[in-house]
Order: sequence, then C-alpha cells, then structure tokens
Amino acid sequence: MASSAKDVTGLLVAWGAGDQAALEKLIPLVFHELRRLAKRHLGRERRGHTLQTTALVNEVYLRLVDARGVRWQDRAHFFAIASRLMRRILVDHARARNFAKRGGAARRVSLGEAALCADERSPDLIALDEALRALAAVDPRKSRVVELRFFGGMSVEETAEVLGISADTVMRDWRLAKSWLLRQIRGEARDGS
Amino acid sequence: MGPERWRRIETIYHQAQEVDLRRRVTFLTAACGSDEALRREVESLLGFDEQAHDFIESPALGTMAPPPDRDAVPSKVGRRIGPYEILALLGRGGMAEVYLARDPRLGRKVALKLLPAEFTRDADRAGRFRREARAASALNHPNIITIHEIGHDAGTHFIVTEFVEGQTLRQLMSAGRVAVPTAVSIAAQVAQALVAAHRAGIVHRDIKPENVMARPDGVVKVLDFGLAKPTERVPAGVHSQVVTLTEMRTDPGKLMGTVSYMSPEQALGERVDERTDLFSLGIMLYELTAGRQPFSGATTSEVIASTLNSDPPPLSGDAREIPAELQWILRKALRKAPDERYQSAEELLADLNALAGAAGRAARTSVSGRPTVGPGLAKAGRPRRGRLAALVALAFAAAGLAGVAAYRPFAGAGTGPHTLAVLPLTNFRPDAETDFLGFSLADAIISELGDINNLTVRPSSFVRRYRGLEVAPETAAAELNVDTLLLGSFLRDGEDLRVTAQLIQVSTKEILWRGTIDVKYDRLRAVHDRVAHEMIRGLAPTLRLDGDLPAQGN
Repeated sequence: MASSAKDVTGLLVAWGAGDQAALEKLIPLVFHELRRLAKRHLGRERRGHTLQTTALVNEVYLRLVDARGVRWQDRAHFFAIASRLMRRILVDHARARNFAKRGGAARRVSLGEAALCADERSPDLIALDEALRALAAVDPRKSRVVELRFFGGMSVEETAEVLGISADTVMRDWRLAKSWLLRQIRGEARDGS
Repeated sequence: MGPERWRRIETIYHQAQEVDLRRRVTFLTAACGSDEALRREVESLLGFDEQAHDFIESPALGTMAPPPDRDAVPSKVGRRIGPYEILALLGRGGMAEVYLARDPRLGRKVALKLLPAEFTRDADRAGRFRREARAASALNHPNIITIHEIGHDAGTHFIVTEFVEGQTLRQLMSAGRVAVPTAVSIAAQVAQALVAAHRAGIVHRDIKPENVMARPDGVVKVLDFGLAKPTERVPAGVHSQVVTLTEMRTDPGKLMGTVSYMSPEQALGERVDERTDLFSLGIMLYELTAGRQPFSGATTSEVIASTLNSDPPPLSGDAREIPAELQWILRKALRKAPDERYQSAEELLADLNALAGAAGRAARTSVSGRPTVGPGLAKAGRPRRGRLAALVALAFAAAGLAGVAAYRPFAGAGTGPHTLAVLPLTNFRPDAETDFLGFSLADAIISELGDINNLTVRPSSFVRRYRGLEVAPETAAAELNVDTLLLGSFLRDGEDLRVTAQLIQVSTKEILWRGTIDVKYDRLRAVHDRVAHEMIRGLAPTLRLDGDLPAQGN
C-alpha cells in the first residue's frame, strides 16, 4: 500500500463529510495513480491482457485507500471521481495517439471523417468527449451517467448509487444518451426547439 | 432548447420505445400533435437507437487497447462447430455471425450461422424459432436456400445452409437499376419461391433485397424463410450471407431497410398473410427497375406513412423499356388493401411469366432470332422454358385474352396517341340496375391507365358529363382536347359481362385497336378490376408502339 494511503483515506472521508477542500487535495493524488496504471495498461500492444476499467480503478483504490476506514458511500464517490479522471486520461491519451499517428502534424480528425470510420465498439474518444460536453449542457445527469458507465466502467447499480437515482432511471438515461451522443457525433443533430 | 422542451422530448422518446415499432407512427402523431419539430426530434433520436445498441457499451479502457483487428482472422475461424470446419467469416451484425464452413462428411461448403445468445436465453422465442426453422427446412425448392441442419454445439445454436456464391439484390442494385428482363426474371424466381413456401403455409414476412441472392448464373435464392422477422428485431443485418463487414458497420439504415419493405398491414401491426410477401416483392421489383424505392422518406415513420398513404410514382422511362404490363403488375402488387392485391403468388407469377414471355417473344422476332432476355435470365430460364411457355399460354388464356380480338398494330410509328379520353361506356340493354357501370367501368380503366408513360389520360371528372349522352367522337375529342378516344359498350347477361371497346384515332377516324372482354359478373369490385386489367392488357401493345414519343416524368 502506498504511503499516502492514510492521507487519501482521510481526504475521502473528509470530502464525504462535506469538506470541499479535501476534494481538491484528493484529485491530484488519484489522478496521478490512475494515470500511472492506465499508461502501463495502454502501453501494452498485445491483446488478451485487456484490463477492465473497474479493475484498474479498483487497483488504484486499493493502493490509495485504507478500505477499513471508509463508508461505502465514500467508496462510490471515489469511483465517481475516478470516472471523471479516467475520462481525462483516456481522452488525452487518444489525442496523443492521434498526434503521433499523424507524424506529429496536429491535424484533427473532422467529425465527418470520424463518422466515416466510426465503430460503435471503439468510438472516437475525442469526438465523444466533445459530444458529452454538449450533452452536459442539455442534460447534465445523462452526461454523468455516461461518464460513470463508459469511462468509469461502473455497473448500472453502482451508477445509480453514485447519482442517487434508481437503476431504471440509469438505464433510461443511458439509452437516450447513447442515441443522442451517436447522433451528435455523426453530425446529424438537429435543433429540436 | 429549454428544460421543459427537453423533458417532453425525453418523455415521448421513452414512451415511443415502449410502443411496438409498427405503431410508432400513430403514437408519435398523437403524442406530438401539430408540433412537427418535436416529432422530428424524437424520431431522429429513435432513429439512432438501433445503431447505438452497441455504442459505448464496453467501458472505455478496454477499447483503448489496440483495436481488435477485424481484418485478421476471427477467433472462430479454424475451429470446429459440430462437425463443421469454420473457414471464413462472411458477415457479422449484432450478435449473430455467418461463417463459411466446410462439411467434412460431404466435402461441401456450407454457410453456418451462429445464433445470437438471445435466442437461447428466451425459451419461448427459441422454441418458436426451432419450429419455424424446422418448417422452413422442409421447403425444397431451387429458389429457396436449403437448410441442411439446425443444431447446437456446447450451448451455441447454429443453422447450416447451402452456401450461395453470388450477391444480394442490394449489392446487385448498388450498380444502379437493373434491366427490366433481368428484374422480371428475378421477381419471377422469388415468386416461385413464394408459391412453394405459401403452399407449405410459410409466410416469409421479410422479403427484401438483403434476403435475396442472385448467383452469377442467374439463379435466385431466397434466404431466411421462417427465420428472421422484422417484428422480432433480432439479428438485424445478418439476414444474408455475404453482407460484408464494412456494409454492416456503416449501414445506418438497418431498421429503415426493414421498414421500407413492409406491407401496410405489417406497418400497422395487423395480422399478415401470404399477401404481405407479394407486396414486399412488388417493392423489390419496383426498386430493381426504378433504382429507387416506391415509398420513401427521411425517417422510418415517413416511410411508413408513405407506405400507408401514397401511390408509388409511376416508373419513368421509355415505353419500350418499361412495359405497360410491368406498371400494371406493380400497381396491382402494391395495392394498399390486401384484397385488391394479387391474391396468391401464383397469380403474380403468372403475370410475371406472361411479361417475360412477351419480352422473350419480342426478342425472338427481332434481330438475332434468339431470345435475348438479359444477362442471367437466359441461362436461368433454360431448364424451365417449356414450363414457362406453358404458363405464359395459360396466363393469357386465363386472362381472357383469347377473347380480345386481334388488334391491328398501330401503323404510323412515332405518331401514336398522345392524349386519350375514355368515354363512359354504353349499356347495350339499358336498365336501372347496370347503367352505372357505364361510368364506373370507364373510371376504373382511367385509373389503370394513369400510370402509363407518354400518354395523357383525361381524368374521370372530365368525362363524367358524357354519361348517357350520344355524342359524336369528333365533338368529344375536340371538347376534351385529345387525339384518341376509347369508346366502349357493355352487356350484362346474368352472370356474364361482355365489354367491347375500340380505340379510335379521331383525326383519321381509324380504329387503332378493338377488343372484347368477357368477365364473370360477381363481386363488383372484382368486375371492375378485371375489366380494367384486361383492357390495359389489350391496349398495352398498341399504346406501347409509340416509343418515339418523349418520355414523361423523371
């Protein structure tokens, strides 16, 4: 266990009790550890060793937090933070990879191009990140649901716990959000007002 | 967009999802009222449901690993399922996969379709599927893909079918519209498949270009009898064997594809029978020859609305290219009410064969002296030619064409009728009971004629006033501003109705065509249909001779 375990646990508990300053101290610690592990994972070029997000976040959690001193709500919050951080890490990674692939020429893939080669199973994370931001403007909760599920690898139930809504609502949000995002990414969004 | 607005969109979206696909149009119309923008927004979102099915379903991190190289050998290739050796992946969509496999016992290639797990999980559906597959596997017909085996191996259910090397009609059409003789040959072969299936009590319910394959030798095979139903929405996109991976990934219109070939009764969620297949075949034949679908729209519900309400635009093109009979066949096949459609695949087949036969005959008397009926058709038709000829003869006889007196082909090429008025027919034996037929038969004929290219037919409302009037043809022609008139009379005698008619070129006082039609006088609508049908059949060769006239429409 990392030496900072006690600190992280303490910060998590403090944040759970309403101490916002604790969150600010917590995030860099979690981010650092997450990124370290994610990088190790993403650097692997072989298949067959795909580490699931949940497993990765769990690993970070176990490294950083002394589970005995933490309520389950705090654990859920930890995962929620981790999801947001994972989004940042993965989107950054995708950007870097795009950049490298194009020989350093920072040509962004246009949405049109992204749509052409879009694969529902491994979407363009940069386009998705943008679409999620647009979704947050319309419906912040749905954007959170996607963040938790897709970037955080959380189950429907865990997502429901974190957001304090029913699993049914998570499913409905999830479904609508997916269609909305895909439409956004394909550039076919219409102004519905 | 305000939060109120968004909430409404959300609510209607979720409600619509609960509504059966086929009732959605009705639901959305009711739910959105006159708010067109709202309906479009909800529809647009619903339109992405199918594609969004797998979207971001696997958490990000997993997908960030080097992408699964789908060009590389799929995992199952090289493995065995049951006795079958998997050779290559032919197609994949949703969860179902179709492989090319080898049956080592017979040393032949087969197509092996691995069923989605949903089939196995839902016992009810699995049972129904097995029953239907068993029934379908009993179908033994050259135009129906043969099912070799339905089995399972270590919990994986699969279907083994004949492997067809060729392309789906969708792929065939990607190169543009198909020549009429080829299209008719394809449609006739599908109709033959339907005859066999319907006799066995099996309705396909999902006839569409993706489900029909054409071999290079012209033989056509219908896939997935009794297997995939659009109403079940299961393995969307894996209906055909060789839909390429790219096609499946990028095809945004999986659902649209299904909806576009639905019959009105299917779209309304009503009970369907054999006649739904005939409608779908009609759409396919239309698309093959027109290069576009008869009922189209930007969204699925627009397509459904068009299927329910619009008349298909007439095929455009040179009259020699698009025979009037083909227009007629399409109109009949695409009637909204099943009762007005072809009542059986046999009927449709007879008309298609008659049309193919006519084309064949025309070709025989032309340059080469040998039938030139388009690529594929000649070869495909060869083993069946005897039967086909018999069917053609039968079709003509059944159609009462024998009763149509020999027509004198229109002599002045290039000066054929431009404009035509059908005057109310005269009752030979006037009586209050049948006098109405004078106008109603004319009206039926006018409606049937409406689709023929390069001929302008005066609407019924303009000729109504000639009911019961003795009027000189020149006067009527001048008043209606037409160069040709169709004049006729009728006589009802008990159960028989005889209609005689003449097509007159007013300026030369020449009879271009004359014919007699005898039909049974039973149900009124049927009587009108038959008279109109036979009349068009009789007139068609004459009306078609004016190929030099500019084609109308677009």
